[in-house]
Amino acid sequence: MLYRLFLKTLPHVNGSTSIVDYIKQMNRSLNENDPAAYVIPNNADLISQYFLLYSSSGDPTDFEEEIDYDYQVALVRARMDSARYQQNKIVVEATQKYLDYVFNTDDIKATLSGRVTVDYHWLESLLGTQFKSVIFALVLVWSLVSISLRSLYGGTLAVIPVVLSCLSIYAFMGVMGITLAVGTSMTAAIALGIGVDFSIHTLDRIKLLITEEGVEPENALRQLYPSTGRALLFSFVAVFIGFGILGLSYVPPLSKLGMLIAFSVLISFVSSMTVLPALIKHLQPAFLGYVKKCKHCLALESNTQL
Amino acid sequence: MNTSTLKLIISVSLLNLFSLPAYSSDWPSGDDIARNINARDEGVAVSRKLRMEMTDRHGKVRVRETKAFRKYFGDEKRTVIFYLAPKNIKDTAFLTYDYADNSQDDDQWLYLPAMRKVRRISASDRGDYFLGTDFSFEDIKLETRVSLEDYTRKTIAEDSIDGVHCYVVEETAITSEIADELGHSRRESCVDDNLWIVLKSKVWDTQNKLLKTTYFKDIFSVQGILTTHTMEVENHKTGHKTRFDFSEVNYEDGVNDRVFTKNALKRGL
Repeated sequence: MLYRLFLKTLPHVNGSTSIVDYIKQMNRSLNENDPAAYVIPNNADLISQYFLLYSSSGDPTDFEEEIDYDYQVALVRARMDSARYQQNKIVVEATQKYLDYVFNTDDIKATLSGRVTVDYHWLESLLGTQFKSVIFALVLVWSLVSISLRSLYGGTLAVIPVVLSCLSIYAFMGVMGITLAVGTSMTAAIALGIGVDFSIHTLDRIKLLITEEGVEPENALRQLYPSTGRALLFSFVAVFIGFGILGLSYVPPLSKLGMLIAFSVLISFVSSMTVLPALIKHLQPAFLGYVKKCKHCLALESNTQL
Repeated sequence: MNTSTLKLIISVSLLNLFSLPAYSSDWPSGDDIARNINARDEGVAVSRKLRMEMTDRHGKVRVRETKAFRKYFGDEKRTVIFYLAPKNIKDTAFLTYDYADNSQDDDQWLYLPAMRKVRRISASDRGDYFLGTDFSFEDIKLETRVSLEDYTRKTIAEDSIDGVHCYVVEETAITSEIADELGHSRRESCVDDNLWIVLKSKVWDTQNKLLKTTYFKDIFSVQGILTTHTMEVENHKTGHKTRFDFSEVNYEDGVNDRVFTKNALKRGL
């Protein structure tokens, strides 16, 4: 049976069973237990007669798990010693390819089934869309912020803290040994939505201070912390505690979700209060009201000083 | 509540007490019923066609057409079954010698035409399934008779099946060893007290769960011998069903003793 030889070549597949094993064993038993007779006999009638012989005292439903009652549909069971998605993926995909390109013809058809296959498919759709959905959410956030600040530069700055928090979520999961599952796969997208608040508030406040309240750009950051910074701190504490409470849940998916979001909010708050202002101070972006800096301008400035 | 109502209630309930007894002394005893059943003439030898129809719990059906012979040699009963259809098991034949003494294992042979060999089959337990059907070897051996030594029995009720009056006989396996051997510990049979033939029988397994229900139908006399033409059994545990239909039943022509030999298995019909 070629398909079973094929299954044997796959990693973590320890063996397979099907009605064929019983036929071979019956053939061997009826041929003085000769190991060379552990084969499928070359006579279909003989196989039927073996089954009749077996039924001379066996339960009529004995082979129910292996083959249907009119011998049309059979089940081949492959045993795996691993339940990990990474290994399942190799086996399921290779077997599916084998069935599609080698096994299935107009006369015979096989479909993959069983827990490993089902697990593979739903995890595949979960994981396959994971990266895409995070990127999609990032692009949306980026374009919305860009529109509201009327600056692509602004949008880019605003997403930096949430990108950091997304990355730190995955790092946190790796360190804590939290696997991607239905619950944990949503965290990055949720964290993105919650975390971007901090940077929008920060950027908007600086813009307001410089352009409308006439604060000197050098002093803008100093005025940011007591006002918006303070408000963001309270907002952060509230969200952090809110989700952190979930971390105490006895339901593992809930507690993981809570911990991950609380952690990501922490990162986006801290980076909105440190990385983002530092970048602003260094880059002095014009869309926030900073005076345009250019090499030419600098040269002009130094000339006038002379 | 006034006294006349109370009197009425008391008299009605007393009346009920007498008119609905749990047991009736008029009923024949379980042992008498069993003896009457076994006293029925079964004929020394019979040849007949037997159609076996097996249905699994998904409703898929296997049909096997056979020609069967049975003959008593004193207390010993010999049965041979030749398969006629389907094609892939045509000419397969099964021969069994049932000895009256239960401690002596039955002798069984199966001829597989594709191997051209008669194989001796290790003796089956009495409760084993018979040739892929829901009947046990014991059921086949007894056919429409009952075993006297395996059970204690008592008559527990009156009933009727399709308008035919019958007594319900409860049979309980004498020992747990016998219950294990038979695959059931208790049986309730409805016995027609006119013809002394079992119409319906239910068995419970050793955990006292309903295991099988068997119906005996199309009962009519052939050449003066009362013959059950249809036996239907359903296994409630597996959902598997079996129906035996007997036809061309012939008691008169006799059956040659040579039919019950290994050579005859090979030679076929």
